[in-house]
Amino acid sequence: MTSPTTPRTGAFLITRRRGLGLLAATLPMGLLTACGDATSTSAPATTREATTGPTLTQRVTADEAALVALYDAALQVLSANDGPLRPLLETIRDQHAQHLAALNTDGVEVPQTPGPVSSDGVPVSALIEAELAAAKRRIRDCTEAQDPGLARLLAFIGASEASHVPALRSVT
Amino acid sequence: MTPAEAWASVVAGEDAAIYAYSVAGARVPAADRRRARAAMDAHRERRARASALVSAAGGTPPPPGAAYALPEEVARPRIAARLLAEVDNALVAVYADAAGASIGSDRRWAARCAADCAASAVAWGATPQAFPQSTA
Repeated sequence: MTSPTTPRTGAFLITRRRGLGLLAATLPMGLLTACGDATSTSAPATTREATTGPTLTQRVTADEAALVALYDAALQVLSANDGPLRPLLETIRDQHAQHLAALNTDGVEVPQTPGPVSSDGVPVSALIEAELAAAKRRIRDCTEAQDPGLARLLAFIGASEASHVPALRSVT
Repeated sequence: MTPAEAWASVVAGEDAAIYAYSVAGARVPAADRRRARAAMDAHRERRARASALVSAAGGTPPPPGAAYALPEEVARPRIAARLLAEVDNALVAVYADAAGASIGSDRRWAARCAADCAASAVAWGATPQAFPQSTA
């Protein structure tokens, strides 16, 4: 049922049957993005926050650094035989590191927040709680942003954090 | 991108998602059908609100497509779930654009919708991404 106008770079694009001009005018940006750069994982472009930016950006940057530290702590006590949990935690940890890099474009050294690490490690339930709280904060942060590019970036980051919740639940 | 353009893209994306859910929602595993119905209702509600926002911004909401072409026949539950994951992930970028183009409560709503769509995509089997988007 593939339309001749549907790019064949992957599985599931939905396109209107009508003309290409209408298609270009009406398809959501996400689908257009998928047509052009299917494998891109680069951060959305943003600019420096003009007024409240430094405070907001610094706060979110520190938040992301704390999440990276939390996952580092969780990974520290996992054995190699922890099934799908280790690769998932590594993936999510790397995604928080990407959030951090996208926010911290000046490469300022971010102080690591030492989390409370017990010898029993960090339970997955605590990671789920942390992701839920982070996603909620990111929506608030997005609303506070003065720069539209930063607001867009924060919406992406909040979405990523919200998506970590069902991923973590799937391994518990 | 103006607010009217951003919300119009949301309307078009939600129309595509509603179509996808109407086709694939009945083909997901039986245990997931209630979730599919709830998600389709959510997409309809979002479409209605986004359409009102287009009008409020001085634009004209785009009509739903007369038909949509699926790149693959949705013959098996696994393919159905993958389609739903794909359309939900595609909507994340659309809502993030709307967040950038709006302010206040409209922006908060756009960011919350982006989060809901990304979580839904992973619940349908997508891999989490640092910056969720369609991978098709």
